[in-house]
Amino acid sequence: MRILLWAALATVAASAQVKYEDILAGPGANWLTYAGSYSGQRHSSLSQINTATAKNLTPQWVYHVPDAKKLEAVPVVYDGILYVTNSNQLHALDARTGRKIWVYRDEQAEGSRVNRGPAILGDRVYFVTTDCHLVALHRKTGAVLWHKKYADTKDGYFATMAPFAVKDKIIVGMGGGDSGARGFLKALAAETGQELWTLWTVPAKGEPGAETWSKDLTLRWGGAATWLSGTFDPALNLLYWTTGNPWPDFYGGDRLGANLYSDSLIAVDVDSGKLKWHFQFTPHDTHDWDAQSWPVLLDIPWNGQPRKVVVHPNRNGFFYLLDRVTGEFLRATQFADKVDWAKGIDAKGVPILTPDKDPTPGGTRACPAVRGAANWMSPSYNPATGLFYLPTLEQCDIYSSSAKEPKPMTGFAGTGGEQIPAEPGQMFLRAIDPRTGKRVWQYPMTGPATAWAGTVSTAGGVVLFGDDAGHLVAADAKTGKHLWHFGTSQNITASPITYLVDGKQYVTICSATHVFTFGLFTPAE
Amino acid sequence: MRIFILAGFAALALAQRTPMKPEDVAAGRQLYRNSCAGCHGRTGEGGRGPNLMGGRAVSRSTDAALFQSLKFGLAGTDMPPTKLPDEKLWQILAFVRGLSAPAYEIPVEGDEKAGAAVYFGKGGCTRCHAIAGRGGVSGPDLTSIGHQRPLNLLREAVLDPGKRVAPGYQQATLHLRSGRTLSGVLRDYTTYTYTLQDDQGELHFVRAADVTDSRLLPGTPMPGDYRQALTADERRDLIKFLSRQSARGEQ
Repeated sequence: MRILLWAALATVAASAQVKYEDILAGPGANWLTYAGSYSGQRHSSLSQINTATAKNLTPQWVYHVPDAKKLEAVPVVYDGILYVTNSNQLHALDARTGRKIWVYRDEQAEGSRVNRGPAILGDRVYFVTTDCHLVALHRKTGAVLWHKKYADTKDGYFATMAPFAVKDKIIVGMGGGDSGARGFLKALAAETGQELWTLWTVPAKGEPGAETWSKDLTLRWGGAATWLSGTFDPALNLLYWTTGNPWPDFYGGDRLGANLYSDSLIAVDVDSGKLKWHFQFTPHDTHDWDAQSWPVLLDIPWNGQPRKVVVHPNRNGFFYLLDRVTGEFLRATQFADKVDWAKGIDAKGVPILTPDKDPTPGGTRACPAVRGAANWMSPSYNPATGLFYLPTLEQCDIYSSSAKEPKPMTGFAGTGGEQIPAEPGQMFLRAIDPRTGKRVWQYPMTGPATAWAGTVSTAGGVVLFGDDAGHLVAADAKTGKHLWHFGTSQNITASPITYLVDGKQYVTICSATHVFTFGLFTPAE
Repeated sequence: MRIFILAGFAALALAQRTPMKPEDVAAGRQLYRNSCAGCHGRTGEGGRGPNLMGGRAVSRSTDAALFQSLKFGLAGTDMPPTKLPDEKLWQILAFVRGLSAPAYEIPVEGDEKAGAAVYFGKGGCTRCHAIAGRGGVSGPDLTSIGHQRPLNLLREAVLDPGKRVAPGYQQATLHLRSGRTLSGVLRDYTTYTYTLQDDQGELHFVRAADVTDSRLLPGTPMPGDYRQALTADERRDLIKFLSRQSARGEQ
């Protein structure tokens, strides 16, 4: 039987095109978008690797990414080809063997930064360069189809995000908010790169929301960066995107007010680019708590009725549940133990502040740490267990501030947050029930609390995640029981994916410098 | 010691000069052939002196340092001083820089527009090569070729294409156990697997165990007769056109 199967698969012509409907279908054989699906659940329908078989995972191949120092990419996989990015580079690999098919390098890009991965649509694969070019390459040959500059580094912008392919559009965002830059989301035509719309995440003077900034300077350079990918509800035609901190990060005296739309979740009509609603998690943030943990779309009961909700674990330590049609606040529960900046979140979703937790020139201890209780490390959700898997950091920091006049694009953030040497942080993988907001189990990690590793959930009842000591770990999704682990001996700063080629399920994760791929052990023929 | 310092200042001052024009590079080529090629090779490939094409001796040196080496020689090596006037030394330097710098970054003679007409017309280049998605897929993409090759390698690729084959473009025919035959270029091959791309751009992932016969063909399907098929002006213009190809365009 195996021989027959191999004969049938002896040559595999990769000829199909990625359709919008393929991405809509969610992850199975392919992994087509940063979060696996438009819902952001990072849950795969594959079950070859399951609670019984996960112990038989073995390395299948390792690909060294030349020049890599800190890979943060989530690859996409289509039709047996895996696409992974590094700074200003895109590598196409045979997903069965890890052998390189082609590499594109943009030698003209300014500087070097992390890159969080590509997007794919039609016969094109897309990625952003450090200096805000969206590049479209032919997915089979690596040939350049177009380069589109969508923002200027002279205005304080850079780019690290994975572009987001929706319908016939590619959505891109920006980084630079920590040094002063006006946040935006843009949609470009997937075919040509033509700009279709721009949504500014800090309003212009005179527009609604501008009154939440006390000075023109900070309004003009207010941050609210859009440096992570988003999610999408096709029925509502809404994009869900989170925004970063207001600028200057740690001193709020020059930007009195709520500072819209920083630290927010925004719902945007994907065709018009119009803001449908927004919800701000941390009004007038002074702790650099970007809202960059992406919004995960779930359909779950709420007060006995089915409800379309969006859940979001925030850097500020609270796990939010909102109505994703209207943006109505439903509930927030504390998911980290070390949270002292607020006593809770009131019935309207507003934090009940603890006095004297703002940064000061001499330093103020506050929790969570500047890295946040959650961050952009990918969470996942398993509909079968009903659990949400969330990498969590328990840590407090000393936050200091400076009232120095802010100057944009000089690296000035109003100073910062520093780890307390005698209070090392600890990371956990936590399973939270979104219906109740309660923690069901947790997987404590050892390590220096420096991982930026995410998770992937599978129909095999397994959750795979990177731990704080450089391991890829498989745990039972229901109980959190350890099933398998593999040490990469590097700090992991990326999230795993899973896919199927020639009938075999693979799991891939980037370490700092390599792409590691695993599958179940099969004896040599 | 003072003399050296003064010489250094003189060189730095001269390094601020205006950019070279194509005729300076052409003059530099002639000077190079008379004065430098004996040790560094006719195309800069090296010999008694270091390789100036791909070596780091040039790419990692500043203009001022290179100028100084040209003028005063390099103590402890066979590189001699010269009495050529500074103007001529700058022309040599412009030519030498062009041996390793991306073609896009140096002055290149020719008519870009006329070169485009050759590329898309008489040259037949689009049969196998694409620029910004226009053209075939069986040869390397040329959208950014001006940044990816120095001028001498661009010229060589057009005029003497069989001299080196771009990595991932080895021609091959694979006969499979199934009876099927695949032809194209090998994007990758090992003892265990082949990744073959056919002339339609389709990728075929083949296990070596499923191959009964593999023929790796020497050379390249690129025509080797452009010296005859194109006039001198057409060749010059085509190379100029290729040297200007940049995915980012003018910025």
